[in-house]
Amino acid sequence: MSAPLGVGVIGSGPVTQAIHLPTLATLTDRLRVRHVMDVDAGVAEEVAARTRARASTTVEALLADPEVEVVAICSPHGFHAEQVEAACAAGKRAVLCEKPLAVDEAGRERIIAASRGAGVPVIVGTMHAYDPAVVAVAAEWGDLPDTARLVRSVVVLPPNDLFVGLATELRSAPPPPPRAGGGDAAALADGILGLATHDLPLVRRFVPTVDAVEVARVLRPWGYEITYRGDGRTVQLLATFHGGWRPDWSLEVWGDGCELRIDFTPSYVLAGSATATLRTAAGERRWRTAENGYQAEWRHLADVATGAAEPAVSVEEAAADLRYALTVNEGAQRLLEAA
Amino acid sequence: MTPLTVALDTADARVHARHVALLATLPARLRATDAPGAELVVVTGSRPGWPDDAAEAVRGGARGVLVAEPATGDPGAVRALEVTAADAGAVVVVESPVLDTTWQAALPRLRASLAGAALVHGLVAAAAAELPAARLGLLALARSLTGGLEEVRAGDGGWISGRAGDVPVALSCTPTTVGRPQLRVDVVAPGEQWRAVFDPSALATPTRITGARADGLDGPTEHYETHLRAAWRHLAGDAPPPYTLADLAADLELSARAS
Repeated sequence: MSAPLGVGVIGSGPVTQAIHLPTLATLTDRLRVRHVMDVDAGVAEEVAARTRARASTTVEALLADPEVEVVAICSPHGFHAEQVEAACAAGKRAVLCEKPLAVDEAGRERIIAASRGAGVPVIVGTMHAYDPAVVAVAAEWGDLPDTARLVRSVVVLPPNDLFVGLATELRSAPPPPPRAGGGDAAALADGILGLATHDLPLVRRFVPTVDAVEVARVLRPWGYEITYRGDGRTVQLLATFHGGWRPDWSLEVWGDGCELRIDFTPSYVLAGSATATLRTAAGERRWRTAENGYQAEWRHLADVATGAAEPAVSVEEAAADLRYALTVNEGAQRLLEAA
Repeated sequence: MTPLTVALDTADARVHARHVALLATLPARLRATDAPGAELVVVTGSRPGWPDDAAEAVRGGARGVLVAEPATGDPGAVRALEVTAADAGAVVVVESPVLDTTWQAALPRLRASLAGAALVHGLVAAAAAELPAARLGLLALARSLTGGLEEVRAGDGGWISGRAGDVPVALSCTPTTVGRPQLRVDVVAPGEQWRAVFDPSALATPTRITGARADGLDGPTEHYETHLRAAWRHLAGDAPPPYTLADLAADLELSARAS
């Protein structure tokens, strides 16, 4: 077994502290955190100390660290494109970029160009796509992507700090609540690019095109209801942060002769994979493993960085996923304006 | 007690067989008969002309009519039937999941949660031939919970979107080709989440209604009596059914928009 790959983490906020560091702690045979960067020096130093890594306050310093072989970009969405470019230019072995890959078409193009130009694989942190139960059921769902009629995503989540507190002891402020300002248009964009983006890559496999957004409304205190049609199929996206304790995060697909239900575990805790259930005329089959999507995603990144595997989702495909999300958002925004 | 006589509708063998089994659970109060002049009459609600059949039965002297699996029908004719039945002092009971005993037991708590709810959502999946009746069942549950939807929109693909007061309501209806039919309703409220899962696969499978509250899971007693038997009890003289012909007429109008 080769030495663990050195990881540099850009951005040391709640997602890094509560998701990536606990996840990497389960994969120390493959990956070790070597360098932690945050614009807040105090946060960078304390978070780095937790993993006996170096700390810095600039991306340049992190990328200059020779022990950093792979880079995780966990900064605010608007910085992703330039930081992916920098990591690729620095010749790192692979980049994990948190979702969304970028916030607009220009950023999307820059990332594809950077990855292709430098030959550095870029993996997007859509953990549900790497979830072992999802991967396993995808191998068995046959022609469901061809016959899907209805795709329904329901995301009912407790406040983030409920799970964050079980995953770590935050050095920084807890995850901010979804944006309250900016009106419905901003809330809807946040919902699509910040939350729906977790599952839209999966949705896209069943409904590859977005023909018309038919319902788009913001739910209170925060959430969305979006219904759109593509290729004669229907997608219904529902989400709400409702203040209760029980998470309910599911994706369902109805097709001819095959139906799928995936119940995802909450993001911040190492609660194992989703539970994927496939119903056919022959009966029901179910998949679930002890490893969750983040663990599988990081393990895959290590394989890609060492040349043991090709990216399961190429940067071009990830960019197409982003374009899909942007298209849903554009349609939703148009509907909102017209209302 | 002399059992009331029942004329079953033999047009649909599946529905007929089901009613034979259900009547066997109320043998002291109901008895099937082939003789004319039955006190209670079953009409199958999947036939477009069923409201006229029911009205004719009432005018012919029937004391009660059971509308089995309503799936279609002219809302105007349904409202006319309501008047005809009232004038004759007859009872018309519509088979609807609203009559489910567990649902009725839980309803006050669900309605209490509705006041501050963030979202109500529901789904029905049924074989294509049974989807119109199943969709009416989901709409009936939404009406039972909310008192009726406003600003309703619906479109191809079986989606229905509306609101109940300030609460958004999103419903989905889809045909299923495999597995069991599904019917469920969720009320997502701050500090309280309710999920009602109906299981139409057997005559007496209890509806499971679970509430997730701050101190854990909670829920009503599961009654091993679905709406199918409850409908017959209402017809046999129990309290008036909580789902009326007026409700059905309104839901038929909504259903037509979502089909």
